[in-house]
Amino acid sequence: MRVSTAQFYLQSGLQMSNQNAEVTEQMSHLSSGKRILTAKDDAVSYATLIGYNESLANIEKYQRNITQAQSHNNLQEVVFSEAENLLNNIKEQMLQANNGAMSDEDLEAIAKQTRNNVEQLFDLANSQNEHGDYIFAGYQSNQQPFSQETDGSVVYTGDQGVREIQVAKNIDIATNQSGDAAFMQVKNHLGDFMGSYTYASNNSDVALASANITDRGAYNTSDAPHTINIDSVTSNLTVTDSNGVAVFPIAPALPEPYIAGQTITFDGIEVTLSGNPLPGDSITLTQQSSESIFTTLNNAVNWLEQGTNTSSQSQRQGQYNQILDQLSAGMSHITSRRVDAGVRLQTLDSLASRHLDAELNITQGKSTLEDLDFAKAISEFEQSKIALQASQQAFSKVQGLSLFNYI
Amino acid sequence: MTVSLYQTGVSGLLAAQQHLATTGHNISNVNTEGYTRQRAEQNAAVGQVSGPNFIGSGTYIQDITRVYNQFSYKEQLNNQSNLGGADALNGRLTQLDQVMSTSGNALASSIEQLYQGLNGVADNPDDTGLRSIVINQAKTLSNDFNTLNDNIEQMAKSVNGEIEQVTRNISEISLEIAKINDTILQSQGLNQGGQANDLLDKRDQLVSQLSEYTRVNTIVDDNGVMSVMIGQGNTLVAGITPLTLEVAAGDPDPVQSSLRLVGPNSSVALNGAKLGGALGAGFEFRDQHLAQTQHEIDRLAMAISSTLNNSQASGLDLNGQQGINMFTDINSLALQAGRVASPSTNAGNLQAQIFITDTALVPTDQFEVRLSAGELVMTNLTDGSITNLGPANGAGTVHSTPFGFDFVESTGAASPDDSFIITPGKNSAALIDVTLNNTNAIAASSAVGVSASTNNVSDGAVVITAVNDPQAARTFSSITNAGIMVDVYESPPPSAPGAAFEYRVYNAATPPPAIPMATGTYATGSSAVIDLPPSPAAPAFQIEISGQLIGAGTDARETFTIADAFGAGNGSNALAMAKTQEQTLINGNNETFSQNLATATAKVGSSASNAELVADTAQALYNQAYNRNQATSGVNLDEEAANLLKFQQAYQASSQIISTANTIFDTILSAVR
Repeated sequence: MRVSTAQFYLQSGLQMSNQNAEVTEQMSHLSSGKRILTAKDDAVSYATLIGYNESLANIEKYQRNITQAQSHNNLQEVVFSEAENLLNNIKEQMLQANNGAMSDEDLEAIAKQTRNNVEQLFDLANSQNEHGDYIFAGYQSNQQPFSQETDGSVVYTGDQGVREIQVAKNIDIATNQSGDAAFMQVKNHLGDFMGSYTYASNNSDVALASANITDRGAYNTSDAPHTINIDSVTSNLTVTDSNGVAVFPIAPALPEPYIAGQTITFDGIEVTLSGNPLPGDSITLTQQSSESIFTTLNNAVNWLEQGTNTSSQSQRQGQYNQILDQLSAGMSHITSRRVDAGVRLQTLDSLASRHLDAELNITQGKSTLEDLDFAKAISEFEQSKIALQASQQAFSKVQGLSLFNYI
Repeated sequence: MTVSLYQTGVSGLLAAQQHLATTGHNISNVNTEGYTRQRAEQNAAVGQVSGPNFIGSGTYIQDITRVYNQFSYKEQLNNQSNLGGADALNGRLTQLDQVMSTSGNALASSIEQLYQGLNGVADNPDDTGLRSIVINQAKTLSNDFNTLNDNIEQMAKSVNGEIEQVTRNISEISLEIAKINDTILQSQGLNQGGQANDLLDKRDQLVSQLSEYTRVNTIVDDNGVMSVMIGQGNTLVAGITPLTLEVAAGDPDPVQSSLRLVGPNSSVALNGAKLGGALGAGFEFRDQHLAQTQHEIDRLAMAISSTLNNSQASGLDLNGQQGINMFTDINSLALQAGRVASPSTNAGNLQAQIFITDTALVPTDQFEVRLSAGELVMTNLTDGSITNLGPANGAGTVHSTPFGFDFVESTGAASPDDSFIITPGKNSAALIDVTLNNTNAIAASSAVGVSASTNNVSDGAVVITAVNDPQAARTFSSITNAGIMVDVYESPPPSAPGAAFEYRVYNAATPPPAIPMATGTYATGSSAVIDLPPSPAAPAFQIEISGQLIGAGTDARETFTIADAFGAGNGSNALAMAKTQEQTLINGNNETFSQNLATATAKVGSSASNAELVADTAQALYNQAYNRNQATSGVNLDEEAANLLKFQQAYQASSQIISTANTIFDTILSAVR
């Protein structure tokens, strides 16, 4: 082929500039250590890479959220364990007080200790976190949720709000418990009803042992409350509803005295009594499936403060039993709340380790796509470098050759 | 007669001189762009008859010609325009790829940071510091959108500048070719024999330059006058008449400038993208790749604004007010009007607007709406699919489309055949701005919450599915009503066939037998959706009752309470907002925001790498054509050096003939002396 002089220079120049461009590009990959610098380098892998980056960012976000959720739930756990200690103290004090040898003064002293413990529990319920937010206030976190009325009863002014935070794609975890759920909704140890006793007229230690709605279809709130009466003469047990209609026993069955352990069934409700009812006793059922722990504790303090001087010793004992049972229910409630926070912490731990695994996998995948295979890249770089060098040398040798040199 | 040996010698001398001159010309033009090597065509002079013999009488130079192969030259021309186009497109796309990979990455990370901020607020809703982080990140995000949009517009501007420059060059080339044609025509008249080789080279060189800008075709007539056609056969130079190329402002979009071929009596519009060469590549890049990228960015800005604004609107801020827009309203009047462009050729005076209804459905395509036979017909300019929008009923008519936007006739009326170009995302990235400046105004709190009664035993649930007016929802559930109760039971009993769930919604203060505000039933497996407050009042929120709510009887239903949930510590709405990061809310609900951005970037990347391949191929093809052409027409110095020696020797030899003739003559003279 005929080669023109201009062609020779142009071609050599072009070739060298191509090789130069290649070497420069290989250098930019080598110096960054990345195979893909812009989408142009590998459009398909680039899209996957961005997907990986997004997943990594999400995992980082979940991990941050998990840390937050852990600190919130840890705080709750600590508060509940404190509360458990306080309730244990109170229970010990109550057991200590149930002793015939105790004088009124002794009881007064115990009552003081107990009240002190109740105050501490009240403080715990109004705990604040590092941001100054009340942790048991639901959504009303900037207002003190629990306040004490003049009569010693405790009122909750927060709401039911439970804050959640995202800790995995489809998992939100609660970071607080409302004060209501934590302290106000202690399950009634009797079941669905509390009994109100007419202390003035009741003489015995009779009390509700359990009272549950067993047949919701038959139970009608408009007939409540029901009253259990022990006839003042015959000791026969009857139950009347709010309209004064006798619902137990239903004719033709005749009223009979209560037999210990007997279950009375009326209007979908089942009731058993404890103690030995005496003529003239009566109990009114109030539907209440839960009680505030502060109410229970106030009842305890009141029981201690009223001293030994009551009309009926057996009635006092009945009251004591009720209070102690509800106190136990309160303790197990607080434990269940503590467990609740603990279970969440456990979930968070396992999620955190799952995220770590995923992160490792994704990082590996990402690195396979994105990172430069140095061995390969360097050998290619050397190759290009040598090619460039060779064409430069060839050019410098050949370009000097001209017939004019010999004329 | 006698042959003049002198004559013969002189003719050889002259021929060798011309050869030497041509060789010298070749050597001195070795580096001249577009030069074609020349050759002196030498012929033997016809011999003189001397008796029975023809005696040679020397030589003469018949012609000095270009060593020129028009086929390889045309092949080179053709490849040159392909290379010009491929190189230009490759360069532009590489630039866009870099912009998208850097600015795009910045955008992706600011989206991420904004959502990170929102997560923080969801965790600690009343922390002012965290709230101000959200506002700052939102500002960064809107700035990034503005910057990226600026970059893209800047590129469009520079492409337009280049188009204008090239257009001027082409017009100049056109003038020059016409001038050369004229000169050639004139010189052809004077001497019939030789060609104006260097003028021809000059003209070919101009055509070559032209072919870098656009596809070129040439025809040379018998007089050596060349006509030049560009693009798809539009005549640029007709013999000695030059036409010029002009840039006209685009219609309706002035930035989309177009080309016109202007002659003494005519003006024809050219399709820029079909011109080939660098000019065609400029149009292709501006109107396809760059426009597509801009539409993607616009749509992303629009979807993010709309999503976060909607989330804001369904929650309450720290002051208990409905959340205000975080970003510029996507349906502001300016934006609505900007999405419709009307060509100046429209006869009617209809002003139309585009109202975005669902950003998830909006495509990145452009549409054309045309009034044809009383009906507005919308054509997708990308795939050509047609949607009938129904009759044009004049001002105030809203035509809904399946693409997440409404076409609204705002004022005036359209005339038959009027058309409108719709760009649904237009200006979104340019005009995105943060409208929320007060940290208290982030609507982290939800308005109302549902709590299930602890007596409930089944897995059924009541959920709040939508909140239109959080303030009204709150007032309605806690002030108008003392809490709203929802109760459900299964009727008839579960075992009976056709079991359905019967629900009542009522004010907690006035339970049935007072008349409930809503009652109804729903079948197993389905659910009930209830607007509250019930019609005819404007709904503030919506609840959905679902699941198998097996209340044990008319008196023992499963109950739920809906009540005010506003509070400084309520971060539910912020959580919902933060979760939109992972929801597929764009491109027909198929992609998350960052996936969408990645796809757009990858699209540019793959176009760029394709363009690089095409450019490499074009370069290789051009090189081959160039080599073929040079093999014929290029100057080789070695060859010329050899020629130089050859003709020098011929010259010396011819001189020797004269010297010999002289000697002979002297011999004769001395013989007779």
